[in-house]
Amino acid sequence: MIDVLITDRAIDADGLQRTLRHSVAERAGAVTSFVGMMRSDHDSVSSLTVEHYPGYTEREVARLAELALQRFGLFALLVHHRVGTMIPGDVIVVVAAASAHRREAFEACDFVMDYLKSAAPFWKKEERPDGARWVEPTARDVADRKRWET
Amino acid sequence: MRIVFLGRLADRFGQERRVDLSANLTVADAIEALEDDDVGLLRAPGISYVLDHHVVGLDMILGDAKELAFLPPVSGG
Repeated sequence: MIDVLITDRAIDADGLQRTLRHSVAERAGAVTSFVGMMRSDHDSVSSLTVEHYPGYTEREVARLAELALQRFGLFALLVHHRVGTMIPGDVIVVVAAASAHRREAFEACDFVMDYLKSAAPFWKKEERPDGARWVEPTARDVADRKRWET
Repeated sequence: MRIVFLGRLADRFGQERRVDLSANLTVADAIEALEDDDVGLLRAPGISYVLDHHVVGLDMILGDAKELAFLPPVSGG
C-alpha cells in the first residue's frame, strides 16, 4: 500500500503514523516514521514557502514511493509533503514505512528522505531578516542521495 | 505553448508565459524565442527541462507538446 499526498494543509504526523500502524497490524513487525519540521535556524528564518509543480511533483513522488516499496520489500509506505507557507514548528514532511523487520523500515525512510531532499521537484524559499532566499541542496544532501546508487 | 517557470526562475521570468512555437523547434529554440536578456539563466548547469511532464534535453523537439517547464535545482523535505 502506498499513500502519497502533496497538501497545502497542516499535516497530522501522529494521526498518520497511527493510521499506517493499524493498516499493517499483525503483518508488519516494524513501523518507522520520519517527521521533518520547519526550524527557525536560531530565529533567523520567519517563514518557509515550499513550491511544487502540480501534477508532475505528485507523479514523481509516487514513483519514488513505488521504488522504495519494491526495493525494501515494504508492506506500506506513506509520504505526505506540505506545500505553501509555513512557520517554525510546522510539519513539512512525514514519511512512514512498515515492513516485516526493522532494518528495511529504517532504511526506507532514510532513502525516501534523501531523494526528497535533493531529487524530488520541490523548491523551498526562506524568509530571513535580510530578504528571501531560495534553498538549494547542499553537497551533503547530494552525497547522502548517492549512497543509495551503489 | 505554455511555458512554466518554477522556484527562483519564476521570480525572474514570471510563473507562466504563452509563446507560439512551431512543432519542429527544440527546447533550445524555445529558450531563444522567449527574447529575454537573461535566457542564459535557463541554459545554466542544474536547470532541468520538462516537456509534458517528461525530463528532456535541450535538443528535444517540441512536437505537439502543450507545456514546457524550466526547473531550477530542487530542495524538498
